[in-house]
Amino acid sequence: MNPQNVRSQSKMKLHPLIVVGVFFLFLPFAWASVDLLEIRIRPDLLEHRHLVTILTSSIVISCIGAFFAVVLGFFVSVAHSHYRLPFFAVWGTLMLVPLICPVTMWSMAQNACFGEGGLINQFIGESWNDLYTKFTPGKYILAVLIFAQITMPLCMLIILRGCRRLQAGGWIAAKHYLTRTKMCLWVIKGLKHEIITSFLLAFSLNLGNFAVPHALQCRLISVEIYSQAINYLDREGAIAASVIILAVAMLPAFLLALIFRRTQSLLQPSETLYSDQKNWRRGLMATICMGYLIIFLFFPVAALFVQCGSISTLLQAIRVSLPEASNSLIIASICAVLAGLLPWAAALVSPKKVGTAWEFFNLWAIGVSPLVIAIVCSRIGSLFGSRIGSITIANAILCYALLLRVWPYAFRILSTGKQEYHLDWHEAARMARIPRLRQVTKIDLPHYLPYVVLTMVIAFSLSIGEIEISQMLCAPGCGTLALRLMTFLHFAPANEVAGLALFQMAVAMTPVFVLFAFWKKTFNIL
Amino acid sequence: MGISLECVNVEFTIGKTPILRDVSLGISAGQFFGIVGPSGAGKTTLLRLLAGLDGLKGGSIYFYDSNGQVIQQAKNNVALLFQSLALWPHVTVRQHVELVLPSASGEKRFDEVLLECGIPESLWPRYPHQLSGGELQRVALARALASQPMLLLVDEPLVNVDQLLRSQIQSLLKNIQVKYGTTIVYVTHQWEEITALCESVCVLDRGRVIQQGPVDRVYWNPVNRRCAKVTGAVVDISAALLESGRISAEDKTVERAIRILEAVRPQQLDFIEPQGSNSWSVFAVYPSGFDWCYQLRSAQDTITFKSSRRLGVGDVVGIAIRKSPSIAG
Amino acid sequence: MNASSNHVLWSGIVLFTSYHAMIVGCSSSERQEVVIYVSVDRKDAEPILKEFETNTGIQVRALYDSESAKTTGLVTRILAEQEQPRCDVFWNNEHVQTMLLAQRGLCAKSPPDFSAHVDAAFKSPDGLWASVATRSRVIIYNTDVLNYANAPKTLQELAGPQWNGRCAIANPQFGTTRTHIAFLSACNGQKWVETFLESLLANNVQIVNGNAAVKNLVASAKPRQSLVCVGVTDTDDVYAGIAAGEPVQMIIPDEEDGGTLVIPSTVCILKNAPHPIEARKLFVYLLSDDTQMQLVGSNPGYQPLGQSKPRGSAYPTGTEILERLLPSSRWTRDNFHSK
Repeated sequence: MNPQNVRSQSKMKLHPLIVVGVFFLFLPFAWASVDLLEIRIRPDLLEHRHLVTILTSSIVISCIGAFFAVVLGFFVSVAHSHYRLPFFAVWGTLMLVPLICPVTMWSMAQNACFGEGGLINQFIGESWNDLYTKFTPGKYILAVLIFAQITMPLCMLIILRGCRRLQAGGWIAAKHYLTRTKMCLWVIKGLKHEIITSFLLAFSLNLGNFAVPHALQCRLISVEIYSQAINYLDREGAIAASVIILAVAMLPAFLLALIFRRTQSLLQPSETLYSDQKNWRRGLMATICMGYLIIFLFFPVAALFVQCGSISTLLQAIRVSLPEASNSLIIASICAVLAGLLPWAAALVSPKKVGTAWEFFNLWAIGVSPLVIAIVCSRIGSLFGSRIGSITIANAILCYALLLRVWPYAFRILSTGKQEYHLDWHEAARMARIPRLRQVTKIDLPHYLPYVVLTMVIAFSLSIGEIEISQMLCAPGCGTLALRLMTFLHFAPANEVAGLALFQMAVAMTPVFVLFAFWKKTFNIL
Repeated sequence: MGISLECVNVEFTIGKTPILRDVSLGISAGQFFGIVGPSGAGKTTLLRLLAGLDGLKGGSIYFYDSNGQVIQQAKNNVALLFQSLALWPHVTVRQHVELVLPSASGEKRFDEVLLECGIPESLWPRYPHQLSGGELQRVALARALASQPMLLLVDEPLVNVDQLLRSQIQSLLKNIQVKYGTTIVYVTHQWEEITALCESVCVLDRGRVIQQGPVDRVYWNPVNRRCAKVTGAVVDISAALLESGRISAEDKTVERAIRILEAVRPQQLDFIEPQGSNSWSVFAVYPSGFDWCYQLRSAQDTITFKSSRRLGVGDVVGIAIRKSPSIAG
Repeated sequence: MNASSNHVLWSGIVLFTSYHAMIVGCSSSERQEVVIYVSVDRKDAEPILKEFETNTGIQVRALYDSESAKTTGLVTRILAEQEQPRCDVFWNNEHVQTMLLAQRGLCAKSPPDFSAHVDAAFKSPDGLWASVATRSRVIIYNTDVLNYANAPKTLQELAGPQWNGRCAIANPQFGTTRTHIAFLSACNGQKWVETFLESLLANNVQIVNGNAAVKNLVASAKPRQSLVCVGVTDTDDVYAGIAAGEPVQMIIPDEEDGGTLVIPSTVCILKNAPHPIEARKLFVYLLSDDTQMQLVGSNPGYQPLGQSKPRGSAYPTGTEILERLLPSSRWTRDNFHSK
């Protein structure tokens, strides 16, 4: 009688870093010069006194914008967690619009609503203009407002995750035992990591944002860095000048990695536990949130429509920009497919107990300005030379840079999908001797499909509206809608530009709304 | 007919932490075998080793067919009923069974399985999130039975289940064993389930087998106090068991003492007239279900146990052992 | 999510991917093409280039500038790519930086007959570049706040106390403003320029990113408020504002002192262009009278070459302006910034 050991479970030994490492391989390659001694700081950029002024004002504006983003995000997250606001799935999705929408278009919309001669000006009259010009030298206040809006969704998502952790950690007991003031302090203390992280993230994104100051024509450091890179082709100097942006961006990524690692085994509270149907404060919170959406989302978009003026202008804008629209769709689709597949592979091979290093490795780009990514990646193009055949290479580098930018979001979503995949489903399939292919098609793919689709949609929308990377890496004649808008922004009649902006918004946001209307599933993506 | 199996010095560790140590047991074909133990004893780990989901770190597990020939795990028809049920959220009830059924089986087998588990046709197109707890249990069982396993491993299926459903599932399992001759290994920490279903039982504690055998033998003759506590209610008592069946709490070393007791089963105790040192005064009474729970105090000791007989506080009684003593002293 | 929704989604993904794969496949067919870097405003240049595409079937791959990436950026790019040029034709909205490229030997000689119809004052003597149409540097003012009588007539007036904080100028590091400063230096000397610019700074001049921004700022001025209501910009920006119904008008400055800078829009073929044959076709097309008329028609800020000859013998040549370009740029880079 021969002993027969029970077959041991086979484990995949593929090191997860190998998968992601191949993807990130280009970055040090792009950063380093052929001759390392060539990396130098251009003195004529950094020694300018005016740069200190610009940098100071950029830091101040970014800080203030981040502060408001955190305050808004905190308010919405805590209000929903405490009162279980009605129809959160609907207007929670709408809250994400400024994050996903093309930034240039968003800036235009806000300017069309709140700027001089805008919609509010037309309603209120000249007193609005007086107020506006008094308090917004150089359009800085408008920049603060836009920064706050576009980074608020990220802050909201991060703080919401913290709220879910607190809900499993005694929220209802705190609600029962503590006074309102003490409850507020308890919540703030419990969420302090998330608050700090979201502030730093919003700050770093604001500091590196190029599209907003370009659209508003206010002089911030990102425009200076961009100018240095484009007009002087001094990429090394531009990278050196953006060291501060990079340094700031790494910290929130690291903190986020810590947060995700520590809350891997998040408990999901019962949906019915916190329902508070008859509380008037619930209605008040919901009204405030809706008011925010109406004032800062619907009105600005309406202002763009008013600025566009007529359907014929809109149709004309669509007609003349069809080639760019087609280019945009192709590039964004490629990026979306890659964003759906590669981070998925990385998430699948993630170790069971994810360390901080692994999380950070996949999150580092979340706070890095797309401008900096673009400058670094543009060096790759230089290394390939400038033959005309490199249009394909240019497009490949463009897709690579776009993928780098959306990687943290994609990886986060797909990691959540993996975390929600229970190992015993796989074991049950194994016990039932279901063929592997059938298991993949019947059990694995249906589970991952929503996450992959969500990732692709978000990657698509972010890529369509992306301007910094497109501007620096698009080959001649391969322009995108965002580029078209950028080159027309200050030169064409306002109604034509508004029509173009509306078209870009429609292209970027349609997949998001279709996904939401079709699915109506809430994703706990953080 | 089911398969029989034998574990020889099975060991399993996670890192450096031993989970199972030197586990040896034998299960006959067609037997309803229970594995019981406190939480963390290693019951689920042992079950996963039998299922082949984890690899042995030491020892061997042998499977034998009806002719006593060793068979490989891969050829065994083993099914596992998970504690978490592990139902696939994107698969309907019908598809759960369809995926598992061998392709040669027809519709007849499919209908058989589902109806046998008490799943009406109206539930077949539904997804797991559309089912109640009891329905989920049945679907998990149907999936496990679909492949007509020769060995069915059941991991604490009735943890959060009401009494009605509990008895239904238990009946179902018993029927399967009788009808198909399937060997069933049933893991639980509830002794009542063992007594209701199993013929033999293995008691696991801290990764070791402390006792194995027929259920009644293990119950009435546990090897030590720990085993006794795991396998049922125990009354802690320190007294001498006399030839007459009476116990003396006073002098535990008298020559007429058969044994010195530390604990007995509650069923073994009975009230008699107090006599000498065998006098216990009732100082607390409180209801416990349909019985009464008493705290009795003697000059040297205090015991607590349940009885259906009604006594009042202050009553003085004597205690006798009705059956043969079961706990070692 | 039920099975039917799953199937619809999978089908959608497959169709979407297939459709775009088809588009990519179809669009990758062999076709003549030419690459042009354009610093003329896109809204003016694009229709002309599209018409060229339609007439000749040659695909035009155009790279435009923006308010933050200027002519300077395109020129720098051409310089950087000189070993392996990617660009075939450079259509500049001014002439000095084209001359800079020609001076560095990056422009290819075109046959004389290509630009035979262009006035000698608006082309290179050795056929390296030629002009399409011209613009001028002007003073722009807001008609709601000012009228012709009380608007400034010379650049020097902009440094006056009545325009303290009410004047805007584009960043002199880039574009036509850079050329304008070089022109002033060639006309009046570097010292004069430095004094003038310092007085503008002392007068709290607003330095903005581009000429269009100057126009926008001036157009949004309101009466009774000391906002920017005058500035220095190009004629095409002024006319763009007028066409959009904005309250702006222009004044040709320094008409009695030799006039203002006339800025021809220039075209050149680059040396070792990847598509020389297509480049020549595009070059000829851009220099044609039709193109000129189309440009002038789309924006009255452009003038036909025949109407734009600079006045006065003191008007510096292009070479003289070019010589002043780098020294004046260096000075403005180091000294001319907002306080």
